[in-house]
Amino acid sequence: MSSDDSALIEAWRAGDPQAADTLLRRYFDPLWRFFRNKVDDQAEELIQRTMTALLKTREQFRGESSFRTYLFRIARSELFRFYRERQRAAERFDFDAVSVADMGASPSSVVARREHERALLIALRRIPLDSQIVLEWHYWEDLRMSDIAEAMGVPLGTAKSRIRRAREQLEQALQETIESREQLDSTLQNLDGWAKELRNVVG
Amino acid sequence: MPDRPPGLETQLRAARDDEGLEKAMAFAAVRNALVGDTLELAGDMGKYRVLERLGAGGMGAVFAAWDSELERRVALKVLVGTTEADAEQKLIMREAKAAAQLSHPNVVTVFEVGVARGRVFLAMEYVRGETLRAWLGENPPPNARIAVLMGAGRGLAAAHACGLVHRDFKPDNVLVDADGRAKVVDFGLAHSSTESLVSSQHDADAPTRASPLTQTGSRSGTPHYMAPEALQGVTVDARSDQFSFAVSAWEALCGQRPFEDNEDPRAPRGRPMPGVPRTTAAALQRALSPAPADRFASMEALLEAIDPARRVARRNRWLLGGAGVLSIGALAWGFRPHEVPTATLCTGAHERLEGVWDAPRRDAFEAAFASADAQAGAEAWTRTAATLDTYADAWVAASTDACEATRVRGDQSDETLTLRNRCLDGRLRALRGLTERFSTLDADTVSRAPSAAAALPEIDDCADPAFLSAQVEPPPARIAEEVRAAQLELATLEAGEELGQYKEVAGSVPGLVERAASLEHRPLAAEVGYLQGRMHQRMGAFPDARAALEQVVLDATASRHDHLLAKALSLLALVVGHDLGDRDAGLSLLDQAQAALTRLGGDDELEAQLLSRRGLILLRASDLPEARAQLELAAEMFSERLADGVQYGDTKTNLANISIALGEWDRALDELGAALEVFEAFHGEEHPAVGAVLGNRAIVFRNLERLDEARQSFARAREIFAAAQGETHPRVAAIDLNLGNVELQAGNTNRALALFDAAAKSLQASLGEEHVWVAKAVSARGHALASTGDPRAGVADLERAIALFEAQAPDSIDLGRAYCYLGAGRAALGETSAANAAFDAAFSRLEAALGPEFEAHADVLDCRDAQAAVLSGR
Repeated sequence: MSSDDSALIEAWRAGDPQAADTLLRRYFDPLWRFFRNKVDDQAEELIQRTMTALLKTREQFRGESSFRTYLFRIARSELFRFYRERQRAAERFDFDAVSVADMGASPSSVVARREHERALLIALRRIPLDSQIVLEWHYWEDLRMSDIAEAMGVPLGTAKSRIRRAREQLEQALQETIESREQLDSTLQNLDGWAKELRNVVG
Repeated sequence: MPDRPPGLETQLRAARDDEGLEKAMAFAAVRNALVGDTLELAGDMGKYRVLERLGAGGMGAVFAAWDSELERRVALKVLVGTTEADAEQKLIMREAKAAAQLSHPNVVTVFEVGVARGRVFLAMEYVRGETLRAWLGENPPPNARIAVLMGAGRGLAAAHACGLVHRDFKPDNVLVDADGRAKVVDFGLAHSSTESLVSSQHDADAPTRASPLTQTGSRSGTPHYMAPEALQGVTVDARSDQFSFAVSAWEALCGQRPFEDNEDPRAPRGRPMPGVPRTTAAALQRALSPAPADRFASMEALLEAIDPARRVARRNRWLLGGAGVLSIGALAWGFRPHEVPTATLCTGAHERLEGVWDAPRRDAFEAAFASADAQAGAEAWTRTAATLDTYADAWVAASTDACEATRVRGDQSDETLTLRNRCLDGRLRALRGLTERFSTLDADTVSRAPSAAAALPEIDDCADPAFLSAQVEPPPARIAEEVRAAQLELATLEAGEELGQYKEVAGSVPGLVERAASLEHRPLAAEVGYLQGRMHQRMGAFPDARAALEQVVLDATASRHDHLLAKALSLLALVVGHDLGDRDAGLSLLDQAQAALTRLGGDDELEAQLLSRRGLILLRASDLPEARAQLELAAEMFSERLADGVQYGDTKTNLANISIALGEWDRALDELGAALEVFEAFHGEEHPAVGAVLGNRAIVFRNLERLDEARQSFARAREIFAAAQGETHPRVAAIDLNLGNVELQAGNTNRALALFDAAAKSLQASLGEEHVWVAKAVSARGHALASTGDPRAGVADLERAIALFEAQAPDSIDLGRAYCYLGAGRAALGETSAANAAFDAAFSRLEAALGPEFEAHADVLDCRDAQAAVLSGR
């Protein structure tokens, strides 16, 4: 898979659109997971930037995990660059949550995700950005500790302690989210079946 | 970690994937951008025979070509980075078509905009000459430089007069022909990026293009020449072109660009070369002001300041312009009893509308609407213009009345006049803020313009003594100017919010918050904080919204900003009670908001909103009957006020949600019907909000088995979405899928089959073979095939769908359904044991998807019936 990825990048650089297509299909999902819960609909632009940045690399990869690690490293730096560009480094914008009917939203947005997942995603967004990133890499992408350390550019010991701290932060954030969530559950269950069907229509 | 809640890891893993439409569309967009267009051009484009490649520009390659019909040489620009189905392409084509309307000696004429071989091309006047940059490299004398720049400036001015904004003016986009005439090229093409990989690779040595792949349109020009507001993704208008022009001119006349970083424009660097008049440099310096409001009102005004010779000619025309304005005044005032003192003392009001809402601006806006979207733009313009005409008339009438009350009739104090004028200034600012945004309208936002116009603050309030006495103290004189500038930006951002430009607004809010904080003027801080709270809430950052709004409550209380206090408490109640789910705290905040409102003497709109919000908080807390009661009261109040039509529609939609949740279908139909009526009236019949309500109504009809009506409703929704988002949009295919289900329920299996097939193909093309939505469509098609006598083809489809679901959405109810259909298909083929295995799989998947009480679920009951029919029944 490794030489394969390098070869694909090479072929893409040489102008083969098929190679770009294959690479994108292979890595779109992890990139989407990475960006969707951190920015709003800028995710597609950031994925695009990340993919394009690949063209500039001259690195050779040892195995798939080495390539994925590299990809995440780029993704993270593109994300940080994006925040800087928008002069938002100090202020996290949490764009992804469900909007509200009061604001003229159509009913499709009233209930959109399973509530416990929503709570978790909200909690994830509340903790510091790098904490969110290490947890997602660890639990969603099955990145090894050493890969996480490499992708973040920190020593192994630091990566390990970051995960520990991130988990604690998430627990705390989740606790707060859940406290406000409990009363909502029944409403959402009432509406859920309808909302699912509705989603088929209004997307 | 003993106190860790059990299963955190499990929960985390479960939240990993989402398969929403949003993701699918993101994939399609990225794929389009990366691989849509990497091919080289060869051969002919329609009637144009490509002769030679002239070069690669920002947006594609330029070729010399021969127009075989008109027998002339043209320059052919072939855009890359867009494909035929691309929304962006449509945008560019609209822009280019608008530019093609423009005929001016200083603008490169666009002959034709078309699509050939899947690419957008522009056939343009072939100019024998070179770019301004190259021309400057030949060291022409200062007066020749100024003459050429003036020409380019006139080209820009002509375009502005037609409502076109260039967006990427720079020396590379000006051609100087053999006679030394400047011609501006590429109007509006930089609207959003079409800069593809190809050009970014070929222009690897062009460091100016910091983000060649920007898709959002927020940063699409060339950073070194872009105005600060364009770099920040705020409003881009004619004054942004003015800035870019001034950067180019400064570079041409001083030998270097004025700023290191245009987002931080301090004093311009360098000094004019000998022979450049000081007035010229001073004029450019003003045009380089970071705030658009500090620049010249128009390119015309800048050119006049640059070139003293021009001023004489301009003077004469100014008289004509003045006459034009007067005639508007005469129209507005034609029916008023004419009193001599009135006419001389209080006639200045309509002049203040100049440059905000006057005849030239109106024309420019109309063109901007049309270029945003040819059809929807025209409809939106009619409504918007009517509303704003009324608003402007009311404003002039109110201003004049305020003035006359003190100065002519003498029955009003100077203090009251001051208060009324301050209030009216705010109204004018709101009007200006909205119109400033018009140049940024696009196909998505143009249809929101009428409701944004309707949402302008009421002018009558400025004659209401209670309202006036609750106004805040004005800022101290030393910061008055800065506060006013910040208030104008606030008005612009609020207009952007009404127009749905959330991303741009959210991006600009932090800067404004900082500005307000540095001015230490609490009423302003409160107003800006209120916007910040709203944006956080819209973006779903509820804790941040709460924090911002709590600060607003403090600032508003401290500065006696009572209206804002009531509004902020009301929104804070919604955030706390609804979004964050703290029912009791939310309801108590609502009581505080009500008290603040009562202190103000009441306000119908805000009171109706309080009721609506009480309803939403109760809805969130599952108290459906009480929520319904509150929302009914709110709907009644909204219905009495014409201006609140949209809120009435929203409230009816929420009431319908409750009825649907309670299974009260007929009631839901009534409520959706009411929502539909007002949305059609306020947004127009083609608005996506109307489409969404129609889609919901169709689902209710389907549940009532009123299939004809379901069909009609879906069909209308489909038309709306197809017109708004394109026939190939996944949402349109999703409606086809629903329509297919209606046909299936009606027993029209063949029609259903055709719809499922079309949906599957469309989704496959737009989202890729392996998308979960494709699986849904293929599964539906397989189900229909299996029941139309082609079980073998049906089984093949279903197996493909199942494989896709297993891989991508193993917990979805769709997987269980697909297994159930497979069971029926297998049974039809006589494969009884395979059929039973499929049904077993179906029930275990449905249990996984639906949880412990799955047996009672309609899908499970349906599947039991299906199993009984095909197997036991045999």
